[in-house]
Amino acid sequence: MLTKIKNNKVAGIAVLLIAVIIAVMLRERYLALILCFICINSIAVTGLDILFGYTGQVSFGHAGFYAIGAYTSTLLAKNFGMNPLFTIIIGMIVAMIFGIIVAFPAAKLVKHFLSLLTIAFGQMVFMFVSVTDKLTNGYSGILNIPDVSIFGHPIKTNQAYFFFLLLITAVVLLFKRNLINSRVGRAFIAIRENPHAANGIGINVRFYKIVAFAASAMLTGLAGALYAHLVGFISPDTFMATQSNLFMTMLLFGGIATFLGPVIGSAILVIVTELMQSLVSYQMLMYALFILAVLFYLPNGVVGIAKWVKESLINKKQGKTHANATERHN
Amino acid sequence: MLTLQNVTIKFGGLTAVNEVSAQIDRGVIFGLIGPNGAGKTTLFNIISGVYAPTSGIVNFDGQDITGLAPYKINGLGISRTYQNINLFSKMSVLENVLVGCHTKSAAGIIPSVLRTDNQRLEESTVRQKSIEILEFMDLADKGNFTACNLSYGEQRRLEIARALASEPKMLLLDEPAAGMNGKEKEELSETIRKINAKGITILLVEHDMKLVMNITHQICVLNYGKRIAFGDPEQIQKDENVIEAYLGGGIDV
Ligand SMILES: Nc1ncnc2c1ncn2[C@@H]1O[C@H](COP(=O)(O)OP(=O)(O)O)[C@@H](O)[C@H]1O
Ligand SMILES: [Mg+2]
Repeated sequence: MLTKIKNNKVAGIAVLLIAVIIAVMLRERYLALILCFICINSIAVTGLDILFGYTGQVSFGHAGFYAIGAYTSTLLAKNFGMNPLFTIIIGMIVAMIFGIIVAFPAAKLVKHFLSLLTIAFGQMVFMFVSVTDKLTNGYSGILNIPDVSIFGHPIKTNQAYFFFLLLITAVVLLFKRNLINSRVGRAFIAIRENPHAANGIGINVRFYKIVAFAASAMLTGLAGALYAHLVGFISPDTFMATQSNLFMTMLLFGGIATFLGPVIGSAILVIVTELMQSLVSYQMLMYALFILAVLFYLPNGVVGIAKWVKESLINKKQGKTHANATERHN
Repeated sequence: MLTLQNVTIKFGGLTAVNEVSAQIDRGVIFGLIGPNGAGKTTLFNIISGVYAPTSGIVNFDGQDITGLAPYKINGLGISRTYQNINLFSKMSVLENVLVGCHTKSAAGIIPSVLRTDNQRLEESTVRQKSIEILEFMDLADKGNFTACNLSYGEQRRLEIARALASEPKMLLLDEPAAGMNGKEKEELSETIRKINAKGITILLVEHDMKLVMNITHQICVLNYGKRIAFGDPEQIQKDENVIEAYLGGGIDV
């Protein structure tokens, strides 16, 4: 009972603290933008987590899906004057279709062959948006991407867009949790753990790998589309291999196959990237350092530390009550 | 129920299973024995679809299942355990059994994401069923353990539990008693009998001759991939070919 109240208090303080931070940040246009980036990356990395964290299929080409979502939504909104709310959904679906196309050959491959295929895919999308001047305006990129509008009210400020993104992120996380705790999610994890045993117990491994690719590409595509309408400008630069590596770093650092890992990893890396804005040329080095930290010290990412702390606290508490009990006995 | 017709498989120059024919009737406990390397596991792999035979036919319930994918064969009602334990080692014990329910449940991705009423109902039914199976296999108090933290014998029982979750008509057990102590083996014999009493046909590979002779109705003996004998346990113990195959020492019972 006492611990329950204590826990509620801690949770309450945490929420309050976060609310205050958000309120302060929201007063600044720039800080609100950072919160928006955290949401967008959380969605993209959650997509990668479904594929890599839960199903065990590696991808170093997720910038490709991010680009497909961004360019599809942008081109439809700009060239046909469609409402971005719809073009974002179409961007998501197109990314999903590409996910399925990639999955057909990918579902037969493992480990390094799969890495190579996904790298090639990311590179192909990057080349495509770079060279198709007529369609995508090539290296110069596309300017003045229209704002999202809800019921005819355009979302103009970063602050307002943040609340829109927060809602979407919450829904994405809820859907992810539902999926993972279902028959389909268990099939994903079974494939990661032991594909032969999964096949033997009635799981169509190839089919579920394709489903995982589709769901993953869809979420990362959604993030790409949301990004385009936030920033109002896209160019191939944003969708280089670096972006794929960044998603992977965020996932590994936050903690793979966890509920909050992608969010925590996104938050930390977005903030660190912003702080290091003046040292852009060292970005890859920084990601490498994060990956090394994971490899050597944090096999389960930041979420792993949190779990470890929680478990040792519980152990301590149990130790204490145990000590109390023996004392009373005396 | 299961008919093998001249089943042969070659790995390069090695004929691991050589023209084996057998018929396993519905409801029996059928033993498959033979020295190490005789081809027993390979035959299991052929029946369960891991390998397609080089030649020959596998027929289950009147249907030709030769070379069908493992997941399809499981769906048709043949479930198996593995000689080298093949669990989903980082999943919990209960989750391993839940995965076993895959073919007997239906929720697809959209109902799962949206948690529709039907999906929730199915999920609770499947959980209930899995808990009952764990109780049956005497693993109920281990449901929340991570599978890799179980003892060896418990892992073998969990493999059976997972296989039972797919509600098989036929269960293939590959050395289920390996690594078990005497008491565990006795309990296992009892469990196999109980599973059989539910109407599930059992194909058993096992090196423990006492266990095999005690619980099987019919036995087929393989040596160097060839079928060298077939009969009930008494006939097998007297069979000259079998005695010779087991190094002239006879079968230890
Ligand atoms: N995938 C494979 N490739 C090559 N040889 C194999 C393969 N699987 C089994 N064998 C060989 O087939 C023979 C039978 O093996 P196995 O079926 O495991 O025997 P048992 O289960 O009766 O001990 C052995 O000689 C083994 O080396
Ligand atoms: Mg064997």
